[in-house]
Amino acid sequence: MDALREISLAEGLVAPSQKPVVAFQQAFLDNIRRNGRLAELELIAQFKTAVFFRTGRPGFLFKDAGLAPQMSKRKKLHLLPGKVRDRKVVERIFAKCSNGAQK
Amino acid sequence: MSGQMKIGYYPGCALHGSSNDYEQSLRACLGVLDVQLQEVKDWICCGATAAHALNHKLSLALPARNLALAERDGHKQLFAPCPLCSMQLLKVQKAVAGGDGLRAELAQIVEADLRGDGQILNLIQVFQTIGLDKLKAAVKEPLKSFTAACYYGCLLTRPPEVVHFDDFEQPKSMEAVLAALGAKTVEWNYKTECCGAGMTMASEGTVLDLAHKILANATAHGANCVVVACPMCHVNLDMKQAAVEQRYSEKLGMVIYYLSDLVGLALGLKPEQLGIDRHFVTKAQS
Repeated sequence: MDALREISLAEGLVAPSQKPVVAFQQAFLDNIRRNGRLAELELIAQFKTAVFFRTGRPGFLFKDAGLAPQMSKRKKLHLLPGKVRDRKVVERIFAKCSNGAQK
Repeated sequence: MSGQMKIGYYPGCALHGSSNDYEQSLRACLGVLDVQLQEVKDWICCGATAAHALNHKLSLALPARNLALAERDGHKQLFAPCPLCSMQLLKVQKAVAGGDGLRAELAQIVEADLRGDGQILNLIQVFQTIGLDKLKAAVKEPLKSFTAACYYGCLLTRPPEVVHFDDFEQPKSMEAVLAALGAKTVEWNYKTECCGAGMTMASEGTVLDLAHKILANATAHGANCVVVACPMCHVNLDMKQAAVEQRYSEKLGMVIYYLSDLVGLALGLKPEQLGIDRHFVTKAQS
C-alpha cells in the first residue's frame, strides 16, 4: 500500500480529493527535517497555507481556529516546542533517504 | 510496591505536544507504582504516518535513530506510549533481523550502531511487566462505578506479524488491567476499528464519521466511558467529540480516559494530578 502511494506521488497520479492529505504529510516531514521533533503550531500554519495556495479557499485558513483558545486553556498549545540538539544529523538522515517526495 | 523499576522512555512528539495530558497521566500513575522513566536523550520524531506514506527508507531510518540512541543509553526495555511510535520501532527491529545488510545500511544512515535487540513496550505491557497481581494489591479506590469500553484502535495489536501483542481481532489485555482495578468492561464491536488517526486535519470528515461509529457503539453496549492507550485515539474521540455531535446532531457526552488515568484513579490519585481535568469531555461517573 505504501509502495503504491510512493509510486502514485512520483508519477503525479494523486487523486484531487487526496491532495490535502499529501500536503499535510509533506508539511509534516518538512517540519521534522527542520526541527527534529514536530512543532505542532508551525505544522498547522504550514499545512493551511499550502492548502490555501493549492485550492484558493480562504475559509480553510480559519477552520478550527475556535479550538485554539480551548486548547490553550488546557495547556495543550506550545509556542516554543522542544527542539533536538543535534538537528544536523536529522538533516543528513533526510538527505540520505531522499526520494524527492517530501517537497 | 517493592523495588524500583527503571525503563527507557521514548515519549514521541504527541506527548510533548497537544497530548501532554497523556504524559502527565502516565508519569503520575507510574510514579506511584515506583517505575522510573528514563527518557532517551535527544530523541527525534519517528516520522509517523507521513514517513511511511511518502518515503519507505525514511520510515525505517527515523525510528532506527531512536533505537540506536536508546541502545547507546543502555536501555534494555523501551516504553513507547504511542502505539504508532511503538509499532515503528518494532518494524525496524523486524526489518534488521532479516540479515540482508539493512542493519549496516541503517547504521550508516543514522550515524550510530544499531543492534535492534531491546524490548519495546506499550502502556498495557508496562502494567503487565509490573504485574497485574501487584497492581491489584496497590488499588486503594476500586473503580466500581466505571463500565468501560476498551478501545485498542489499529496499532496496539496490528500488524500482528510486527507487534506480536494480544489477539489482533479480539484483544483482552486492557480488560484484564481494568478487572484488576475493579472496573466493569463491555463487549462491543469497535474495539479494533480505526478512528482516522492522523487524518484529523487533512480529512476531518473521515475522522468524524469513524469516531461517531466508535462512540455510538460504545454507548449502545452500555459503556459509561471509553479507555484508550493512544494519543491520536484520544484526540479524535475526546477533542473532536463536539464536532462529531454537531455533524450528527446527537449528544454523546462520552468520557474518554487514557488507561493510565484509570490506573491512577484506582491508586488514589486525584483527576487533576492525572490531567483528566484537561480533557475536553469531562463528567462524574454515575
